[in-house]
Amino acid sequence: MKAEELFDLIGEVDEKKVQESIMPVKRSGKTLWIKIGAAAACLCVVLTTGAVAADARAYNEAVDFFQEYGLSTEGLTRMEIKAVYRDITTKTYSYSKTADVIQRNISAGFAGTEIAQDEPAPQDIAELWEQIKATENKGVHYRPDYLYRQDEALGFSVHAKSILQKFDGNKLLWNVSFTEFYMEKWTEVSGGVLVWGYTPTWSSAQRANAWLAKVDDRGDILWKTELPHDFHREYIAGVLENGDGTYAVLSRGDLKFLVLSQYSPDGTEISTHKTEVGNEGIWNIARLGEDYIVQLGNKSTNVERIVRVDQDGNLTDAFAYTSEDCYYYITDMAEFAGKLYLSAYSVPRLSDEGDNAGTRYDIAAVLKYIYDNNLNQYNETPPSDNDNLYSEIPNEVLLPLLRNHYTAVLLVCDPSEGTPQTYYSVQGSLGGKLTAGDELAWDVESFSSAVYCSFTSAWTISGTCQVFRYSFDTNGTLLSQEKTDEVTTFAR
Amino acid sequence: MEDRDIVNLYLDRNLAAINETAAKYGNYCSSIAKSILGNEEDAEECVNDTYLNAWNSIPPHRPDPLSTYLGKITRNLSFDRFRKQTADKRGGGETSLVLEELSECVSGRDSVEQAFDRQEFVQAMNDFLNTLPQKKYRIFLCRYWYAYSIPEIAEKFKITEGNVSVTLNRIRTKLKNFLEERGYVI
Repeated sequence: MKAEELFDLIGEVDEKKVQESIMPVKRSGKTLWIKIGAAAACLCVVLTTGAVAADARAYNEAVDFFQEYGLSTEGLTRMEIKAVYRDITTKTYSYSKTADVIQRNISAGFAGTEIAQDEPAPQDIAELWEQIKATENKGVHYRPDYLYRQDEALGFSVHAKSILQKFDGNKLLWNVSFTEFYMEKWTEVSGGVLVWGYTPTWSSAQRANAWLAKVDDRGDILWKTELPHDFHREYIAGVLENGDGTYAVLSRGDLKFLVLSQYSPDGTEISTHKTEVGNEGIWNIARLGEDYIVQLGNKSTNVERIVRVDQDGNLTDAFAYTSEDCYYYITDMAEFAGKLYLSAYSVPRLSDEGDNAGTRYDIAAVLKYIYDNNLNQYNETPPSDNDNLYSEIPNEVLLPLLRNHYTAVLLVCDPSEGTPQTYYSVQGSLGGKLTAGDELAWDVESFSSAVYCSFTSAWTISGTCQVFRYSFDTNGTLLSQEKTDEVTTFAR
Repeated sequence: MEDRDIVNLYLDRNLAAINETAAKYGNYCSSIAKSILGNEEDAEECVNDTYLNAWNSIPPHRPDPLSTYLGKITRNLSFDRFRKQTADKRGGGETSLVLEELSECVSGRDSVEQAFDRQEFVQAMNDFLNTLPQKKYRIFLCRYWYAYSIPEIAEKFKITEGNVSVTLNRIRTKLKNFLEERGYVI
């Protein structure tokens, strides 16, 4: 066929769509919301009885809306009810409490499958230590390094350069340096590696811009660019390939904006859009069809939600996954065969949320049990052999506590609504990485050994997990379970 | 005047139908013709031919909506003239660029070699458009039905020209894959 024939045939498509295309484009809800917000700010200055009556009408409208859609107002103030109502009806989805209201209830109304998995035997644990050593420096991997220099004027050391090295086993393939920015993360993409970071600073008063660079397969820098956004501080949370050579860059601006920027293959910014979401970090990102799914959260408040972002950066939906009995923590997200898969783990909900072990909600119940039952007694002095980890609680006591407490969960969700349709669970594990290819691979990290130490600041309970890999077909049917030789560590 | 009243004028063979058509849809047809042909004179001739075509085809046709019916006539007439001009090494407008973009979706071979049912293909195109969000198929049709320029589309949808180009590129790739999956080796 020639292009002229295709052009000709396009002339015969659905007339309704042809007519729609010529209609004026309505302004987006986001603009309308800003206008309403500005007007509301002005009204607050002059509060008259007329304004009070208008406020009552707005509140009643919001309550009616909640009742009509079966949404709960419990725990929300009057202002919050109106704000959620506005957020939903204007399709803005940037208000943090909206997601709490639009909850996808995990425990209600759909079936799932618990996958049986054997608990680790003592010889498994002994083999784990050998596997940890054996898997180090295996295959192609990357290593970062950072050099600092003494700044005589400042009197302390400052960032000189960040180095990324690519190895195959122990053989160095290439290394590349960046002096303009502090390298945070990298990801392999078609034709090389994308690297990102931020302007190195030594004071929060300094401006820190986000940086993005691409390195080819030989280790040559193809391009590097400073994101041209007007933030005091911006950091890139993740970069996704769009499949057509362009990249979607998700960043956080000034600790309150979610920013989606589209970049061309040569590092030129095509578009950017920012949405104010509040003090929520960007924890995970994934493509979902033409859109993106972004997990936002705040560890201090134990709040997380998922927002759907279209290619232009507009938030088109927001929801949270919760149940009455458990906390759910999403660790990875992937689209596969038209469905949204969420890898997560669940722990029982605390009876008293104030007892959260310093906002360590997911391990708080285990720590409380240890303290209440005086399990953390000294058994022996620390061994001198560095191969043995010192634990104040024996592994055979601590490990069952963890295995009873954590459950890996794979939620299979409808991609348009985000509603869970079914789930898979594995007791004694954490939900890990998802890899989509011809099949979907779900890594489940099964607790295999545990250490308790009250003297470390970074963790109290740590240990290792053996990775089991579950494969699913395009219908979401479990095909196989494989005990891999991979080991991960955890620390809470 | 409402479309059904204009159509009734055609059915009554009342020449006021032409005046009313020109008053309501003259600019619409002109913009389509200008986008494809790139110059006022040729566009004006095509629009006039559109009115003649409408007069000759209503009845028996009773178009609804009238706008799209007229738009299709103008589009077809304009494109025929463009093809003739291209053969004569004349012509301009956005159409050359549009065809260049669409050539990414096709083999360029003479379709006599690959017979397919025209109606089935158009249905497949409609199925494809149904897979796209509304904004995306509107952008697609503005470019490949109406032959709007990239800046015009960017202005209409309040997005950057780069955004328009990338969006169209992605849709063309999807279209090609969609048609190939359905056995259309085009």
